[in-house]
Amino acid sequence: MTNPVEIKGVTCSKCHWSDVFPAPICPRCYGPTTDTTFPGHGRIASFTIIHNPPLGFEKESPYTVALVDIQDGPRVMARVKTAQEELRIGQVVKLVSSSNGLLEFGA
Amino acid sequence: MAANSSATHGRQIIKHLGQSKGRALTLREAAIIGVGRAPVKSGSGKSVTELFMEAAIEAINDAGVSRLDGIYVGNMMSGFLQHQEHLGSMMATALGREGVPAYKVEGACASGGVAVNAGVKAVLSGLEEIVLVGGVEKMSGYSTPEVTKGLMMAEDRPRVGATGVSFVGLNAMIARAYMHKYQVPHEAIAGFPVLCHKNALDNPKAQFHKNITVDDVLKSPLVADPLRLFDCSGIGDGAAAVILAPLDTARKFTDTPVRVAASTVATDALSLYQRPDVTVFEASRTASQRAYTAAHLKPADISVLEVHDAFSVLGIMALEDLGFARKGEGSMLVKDGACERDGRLPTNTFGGLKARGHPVGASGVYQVAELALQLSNKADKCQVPNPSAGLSQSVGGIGGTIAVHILERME
Repeated sequence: MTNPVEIKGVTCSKCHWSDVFPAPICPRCYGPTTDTTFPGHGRIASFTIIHNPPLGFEKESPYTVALVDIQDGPRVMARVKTAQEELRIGQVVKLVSSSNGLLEFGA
Repeated sequence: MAANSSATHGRQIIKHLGQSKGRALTLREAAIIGVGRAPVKSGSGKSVTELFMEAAIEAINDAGVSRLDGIYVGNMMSGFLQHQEHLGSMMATALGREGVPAYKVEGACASGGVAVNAGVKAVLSGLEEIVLVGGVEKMSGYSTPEVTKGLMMAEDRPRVGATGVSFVGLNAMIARAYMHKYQVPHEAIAGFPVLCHKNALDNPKAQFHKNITVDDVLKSPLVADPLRLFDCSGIGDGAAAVILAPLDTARKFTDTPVRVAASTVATDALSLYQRPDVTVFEASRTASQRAYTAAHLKPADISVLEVHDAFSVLGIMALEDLGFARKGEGSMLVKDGACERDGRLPTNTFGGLKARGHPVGASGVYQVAELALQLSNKADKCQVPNPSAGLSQSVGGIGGTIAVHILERME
């Protein structure tokens, strides 16, 4: 398994808005964006453990979904693999994997 | 004939505006002249059309109108769950009103509130006079994972769907952030569903008629940690409707018209991850501030309140974001008894989303219908003493759309 250390994203050349999803135009100032990378770690802003999942995720339950504030980057919604009893707001997590738009973090 | 008279009225208003140089413009106002509510039930056995007709016909008969100039149908999930769209024409046909302009209005769980806003705008414009607004949703009869997937259509699915987050999970992240930021325990938030269940006991059309305790909430099964089953509104079928008319003609139809003092909608970033502070719904603040300005009222003037408590924490946050409490202090209002029907801010007087029920596209219309009943002293056992003004808040998605209505009793 690869161990990605950076997160791909875009940032606005003019107003510095950023996101991890592709966006050719900044939604704030309509300026051009450029591809960039953010550090592969951040802090948990909030999290939940899903016990009643949507259709298609039944076999993975229970699993943790969190809002993660990437260091010097945007907020993302991601999976977190850390043991559930150890989770807390403010905790530092590191990117474990990134595929098909799904970011997974761990301790 | 109806279309002709509407067009004539429209020209008169334009002419009036043209003559009002330098003076404050007086636009037409709207009133509610009839309401209808189907009981909310899980397993109603009724189709979307049957649910809608039950509420619509009750409202039409209540208003005593024979003519409709417009039909607005609030609904979120008929395409996903029933594989049925085109509800505008479908409901016009079901009511035998072919020819009338009809629209499906969608704003996720705020579809009902946004539909009322669309109907009010139609009346205010002068283009339509007698307008039916109905909200309808059929959610039972499908698996919980299927409904859970459907509700996620209210978020930015291409961006966050792969995480497997559920709609309850999004609200659970709000709840955890809120409790952490303001050091509010779950027990305090759980007071909201307890209040709603108590109020619903007196509403024969409520989905749940069962008192619950804070302990019941805290011991119910986890759905999305930290939110538990009794923190969440249930899955149910329902429909509600109101008939709108120009205020100056309203007394022809009813002795107790209710004035629409404000009808506003505001948006915010669609996805939870796009919000810097998830413990506030900015669209609630924006929509309510616009509504207070339009109605020339302030929060202290509101004597009955209906908020979108799809989840316990949202009820508490609404009390704050609508201006009734400072951030972090909403639960104190519930604890102090202010939100009881005999308190100073009676809230969710028919049971709210938690206990009256939350058929998503209908809830915003139920709220407005219930306020209209309160303000015309027709709320029966749910009646609060002599309310003068009521406010409703209908939340779409995770706060991406919020509709606010302020209604006033007519002197």
